[in-house]
Amino acid sequence: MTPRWKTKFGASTANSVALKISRRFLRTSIAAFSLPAVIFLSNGRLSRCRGEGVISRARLLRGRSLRIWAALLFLAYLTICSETLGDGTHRLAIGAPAPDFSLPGVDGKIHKLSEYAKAKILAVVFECDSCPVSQLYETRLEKLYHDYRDKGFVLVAINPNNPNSLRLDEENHTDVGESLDDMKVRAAVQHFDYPYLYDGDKQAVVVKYGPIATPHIFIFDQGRKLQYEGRIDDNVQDSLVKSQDARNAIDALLAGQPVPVATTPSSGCSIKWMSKAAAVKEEMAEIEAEPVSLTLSGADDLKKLRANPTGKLLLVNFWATWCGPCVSEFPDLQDTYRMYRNRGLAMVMVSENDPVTKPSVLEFLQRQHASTTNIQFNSSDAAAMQEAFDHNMGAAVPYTVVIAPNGDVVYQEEGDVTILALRRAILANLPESKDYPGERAYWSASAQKR
Amino acid sequence: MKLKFSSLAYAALFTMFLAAAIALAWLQSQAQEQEQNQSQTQAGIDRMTRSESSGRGIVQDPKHPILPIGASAPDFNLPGVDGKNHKLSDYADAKVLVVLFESNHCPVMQAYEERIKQINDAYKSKGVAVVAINANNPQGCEIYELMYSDLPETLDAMKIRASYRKFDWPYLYDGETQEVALKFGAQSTPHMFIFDQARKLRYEGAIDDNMAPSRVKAHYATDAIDALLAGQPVPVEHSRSLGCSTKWITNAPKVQAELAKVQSKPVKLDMASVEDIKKLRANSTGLPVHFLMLQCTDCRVVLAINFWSLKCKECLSDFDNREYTDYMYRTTRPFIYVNLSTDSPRDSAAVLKFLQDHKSVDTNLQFNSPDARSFQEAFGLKWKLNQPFMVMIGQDGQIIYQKEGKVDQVELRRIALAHFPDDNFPGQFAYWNSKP
Repeated sequence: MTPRWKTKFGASTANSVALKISRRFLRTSIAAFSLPAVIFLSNGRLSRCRGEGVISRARLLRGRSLRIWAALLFLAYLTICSETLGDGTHRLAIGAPAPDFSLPGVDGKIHKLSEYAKAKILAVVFECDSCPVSQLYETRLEKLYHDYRDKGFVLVAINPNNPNSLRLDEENHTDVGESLDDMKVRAAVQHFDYPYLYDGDKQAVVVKYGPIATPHIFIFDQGRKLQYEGRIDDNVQDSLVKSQDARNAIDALLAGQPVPVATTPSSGCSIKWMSKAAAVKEEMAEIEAEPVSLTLSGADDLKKLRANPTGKLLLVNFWATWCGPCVSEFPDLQDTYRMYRNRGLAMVMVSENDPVTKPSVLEFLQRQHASTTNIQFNSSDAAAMQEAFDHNMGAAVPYTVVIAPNGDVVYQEEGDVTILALRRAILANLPESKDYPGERAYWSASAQKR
Repeated sequence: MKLKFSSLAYAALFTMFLAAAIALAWLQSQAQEQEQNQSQTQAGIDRMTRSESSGRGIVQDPKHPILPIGASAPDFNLPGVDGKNHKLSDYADAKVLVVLFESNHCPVMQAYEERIKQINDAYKSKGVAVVAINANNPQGCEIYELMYSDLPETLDAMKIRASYRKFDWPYLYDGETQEVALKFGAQSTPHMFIFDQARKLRYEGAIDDNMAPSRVKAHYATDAIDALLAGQPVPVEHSRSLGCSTKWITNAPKVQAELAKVQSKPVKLDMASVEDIKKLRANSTGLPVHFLMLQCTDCRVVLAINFWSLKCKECLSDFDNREYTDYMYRTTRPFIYVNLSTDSPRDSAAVLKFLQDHKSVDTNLQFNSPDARSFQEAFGLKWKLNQPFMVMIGQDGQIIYQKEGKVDQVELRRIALAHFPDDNFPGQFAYWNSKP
């Protein structure tokens, strides 16, 4: 979010120098004055959102007292958002022709604008894998597509995000990243019936459309002129939707009527521009600078660990350096920790190596930059150690359990984990952010679908 | 809201109003949110614990539970390393039947091999039969899981292990269907099941309480056998079996995908100078090493060099076997494997083509001059060109293996294993350096 606002601010100030008409000036000054206010106001939220990589509009809109503020923000949006956007992006104007594209889809084929020439109405939706808002709209988009496809309506989804510009701590609401392969996984699990295209490599299409966030919908008439752009509807929670903006636009177009509201603000997650790749490198450097420790632990410690003293969702992985599948899955588990720790995931790696091998185990952990809590059995009687943790735990390594704050086991796997299944189980059990009502249900359902 | 956009005053007024309204809204919302935050966090926790709290604990291996004490011995009919099929009824005469799930690849298994031999030797004259079953499916086992082994998990490989290590007990193969392992609920290799004369299960679990023989305190297996032979109750009926997981056939797609991923890497061929050859001989190549799946820049390695040429038919037909050895250790042990083509540089396109066809994704070198003699001189060894020639160099630069003609890959692997360090599994080094 921050870069987008900053760019907007910069653009507006630059414009103001050249402005002669007072109307433009007013617009600029609202932008100039309201922007610091917006930044100031949402300061606490921004810092919270930074890790989440998400624009937390839903939260801002909550509560009656916030309505005025919302109305004003909306006004500010209307005045500013038609201006230049991030990374030289221009938000497409109503009436403008549909920009061309030629992009690879999850079906392995290249899809072009011309392919949909016969469609009476074409919707281009910018959505992505990692954004919780985008995820919560997946079912609604599917339904939209199904409700209208017999009437000449075609829906094409485009993922604008660059996969290398997504920090691990921005993947805290997702099982997969933003690559085309990741998109294939999402499309398969959620049974997307519409094309899901990848623009992350060059981001040449997203700059032509200029979406504010993911999701953001652009609806074109038969002449492929833009007739509606903005949000799909007005609430991230399906049951609370009052204004079906996208459907209203489609209904109007089908009836040959003018679209009632042609432009609305969209809210969701910021576009992950490839210029952000440096932030990813920065994150890796931070991770590599984190201290790595290893403690020898006895039966009592393991007993306590099983009860989950962390107050958080806790993943415990039993492993050994002599175990091939263990060292093979180790980096994925560390990444999983880096993804979700800012949402309150705790992780303890328990080495079953003989205590005399502690130097080798520590060396391995250091090479992995394993900033998880790392312990090692303090006795070579590994069976007694396992018994202290849980009588029913598996005997072979690797062994993985995820324990809820109250001590309940919500996931267990003997042998190497299927990393996406593990991540879905974690997402289904992390505390739900109030910005994304339904998120836990989404991931519970997703975990079933595997 | 209708505004006349004609004067600066309006603009200023409006922005001030905007700022004030926002500030007010913010103050209100802060207070409200704090309240909400508290109640919602609590509500969140309540909701979470409610929805997840069916009092769920760890479930003991839900997929294949362990055979309970007192249960009858499940029947089996499995091929053995002796080429015959073995049935439960074949052991009807035994006073005590010991069924042991074991494997070729597991270092825990290897640590126990000598103890199994001792049990078999000590008790076979007393009417005790030991039957070992390998339940691993070779397709369900990643090649890198063979990091401590000279052999994969096939029946043929079991034959080699049994004869090399002089197994004096039947060693049966259940990897095809894994039905017997499922019936027993075998949890790991090793996992021992001891039946009385009526073939009721009397003990199940580990052989003893420590992988290191010198630190063993409780001898579960021999205590159980002694008790049964004396007609006494077994003192400890269950212990936790420890070791390597069973390689289930259901894992096969994942194994294939992993192999395809490795083999999809580009195949490279570099030209080697006389200087490069000298570095190879000194085992100071500076080539990237993967150790425990990590890049290691300062690891000392065991270096295997496969000298080959397109004119050497045996080299070509045996090429894939050699690659397999590479795959076994390349990402997990300090090991580098180099294919060095002695073909003339003008044939490098054909050399590369062969390497690509055989998905040789590791280090591939070729002499950069047709003067092969000068390279032999630089390497300090002479061999008949266009014949298979294999050299392995230890961590200190000493030649630990040298062979002209057909290379026995299993022998080569045993020598490599005997030269890897012992940092992660105490006893491995001793095992591979022991004479069977």
